[in-house]
Amino acid sequence: MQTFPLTGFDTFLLALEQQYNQNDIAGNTCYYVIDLEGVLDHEALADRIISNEYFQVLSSLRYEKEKALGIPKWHLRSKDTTRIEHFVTDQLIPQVVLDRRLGADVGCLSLDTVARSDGRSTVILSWNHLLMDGYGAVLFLKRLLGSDDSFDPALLMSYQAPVYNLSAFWKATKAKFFIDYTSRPRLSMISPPLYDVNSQERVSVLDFDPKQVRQIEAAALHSGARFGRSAFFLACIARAVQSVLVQRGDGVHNFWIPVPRDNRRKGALGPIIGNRLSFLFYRLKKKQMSSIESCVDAINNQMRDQIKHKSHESYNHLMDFMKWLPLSLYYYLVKRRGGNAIASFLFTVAADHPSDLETIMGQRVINALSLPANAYPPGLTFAMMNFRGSLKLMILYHTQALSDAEYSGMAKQLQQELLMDESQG
Amino acid sequence: MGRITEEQIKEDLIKFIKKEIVDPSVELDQNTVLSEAGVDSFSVVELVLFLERKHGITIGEKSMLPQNFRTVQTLATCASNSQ
Repeated sequence: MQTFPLTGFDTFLLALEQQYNQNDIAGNTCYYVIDLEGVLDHEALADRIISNEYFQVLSSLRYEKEKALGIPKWHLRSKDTTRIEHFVTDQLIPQVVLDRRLGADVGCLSLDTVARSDGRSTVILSWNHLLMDGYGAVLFLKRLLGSDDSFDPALLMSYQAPVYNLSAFWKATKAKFFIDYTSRPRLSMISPPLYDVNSQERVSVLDFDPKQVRQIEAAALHSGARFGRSAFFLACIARAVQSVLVQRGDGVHNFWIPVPRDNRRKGALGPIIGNRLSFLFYRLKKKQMSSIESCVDAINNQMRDQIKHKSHESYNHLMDFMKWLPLSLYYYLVKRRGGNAIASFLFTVAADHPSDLETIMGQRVINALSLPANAYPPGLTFAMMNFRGSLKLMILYHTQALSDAEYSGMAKQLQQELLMDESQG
Repeated sequence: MGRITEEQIKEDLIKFIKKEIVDPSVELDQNTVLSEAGVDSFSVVELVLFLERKHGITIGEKSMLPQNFRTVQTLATCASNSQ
């Protein structure tokens, strides 16, 4: 396993990464934050992490620019000397960790521990999205911090040679047309296309306890979200973002939202490395966003239609063909539509915190957050996640995309609509 | 098309879920709670479409309730009643 190809979506992220680097945005960095009840033995954990074979492989992978007409590949370099750092702070993620650059040329992974003033501890896994998606990260954490850390190289990656035939090319072409058509102008974007270096990144979490989760489930069903509550979440979020635009006095047009889906088989233990994602693309019209019910109905119909036509599979073929393009051309083809933005905002359903990671080094896990990469543009990302019966809605925003005052209004509306609590209105 | 038995629907659903949705390591029978086996909203739509394609059974809007998608057994009963 000295070299192996990036997946189609990895290559997409690599094309984006080039732009982030030019603009000095850490747009591809993801975090998994685990809070522990008591004091963690940092040295013991660091020893365990450094000797973990999964960690050794993942932290030793590098991408090197391929020769012309070559697809991008990972290269396994000599054993990495990644340090496990320790901090004392109450900041959710220490500034040093936020400022640390993780990339295909310098290493995509780091792990830190934090001691809190109330005697609790936190473990933070940071990784560049190029290396793996959030679902892969959870599989990795189970092998890194769980009871079974036996090494099985098959769990790391499973390369399936892409299909390059006429049928695959036709499906890829259909996917490209579909994406271009659904993302056609005019779209409403939450952020200006160019990044301002003074923009700050914020992370906020809306917590819903098990009783509120039941309330949300009832509200979702009442709104027509019959395939699951994610359509209801997306509808409420779209309406809350729309309200921000209305308050700004911006004309509201259509929203275009790509929503990722884990392509791994359910219950699979791997593969860990590589983004195994396909996407459903939702175009929400202004009229559809006039009520939660009509918005949910539009999402349901588009979801059903795309699954029926196996759009997600066609999208994977497209990504496999695009891997052969030079990255700058790739970027141009992706970004030329809709000005400089890729989506109105981003929404994802993060993996649930695994039930077999209830304790780490003898300390009980009391909270976990999976924070996705917050790419700019759009600079506004929503992620929902289950943790022991409670539900979290993580909201990541750049202040250039959303001011703090706008965020407050949006969060209030979201809580009201998710809980269908008219009394707060 | 003749009426399909509930047993046949169950059998087909289990085969489909094992082939298309869950990992081979996941044990699944008619009483497994599908959400606990990882069946998400996307997979629920796949199951609905599978029943339409394979048996021409359309689950009505009113029957699309979480309790009907809880297990293969409940879904098969719902599908059988929808014929």
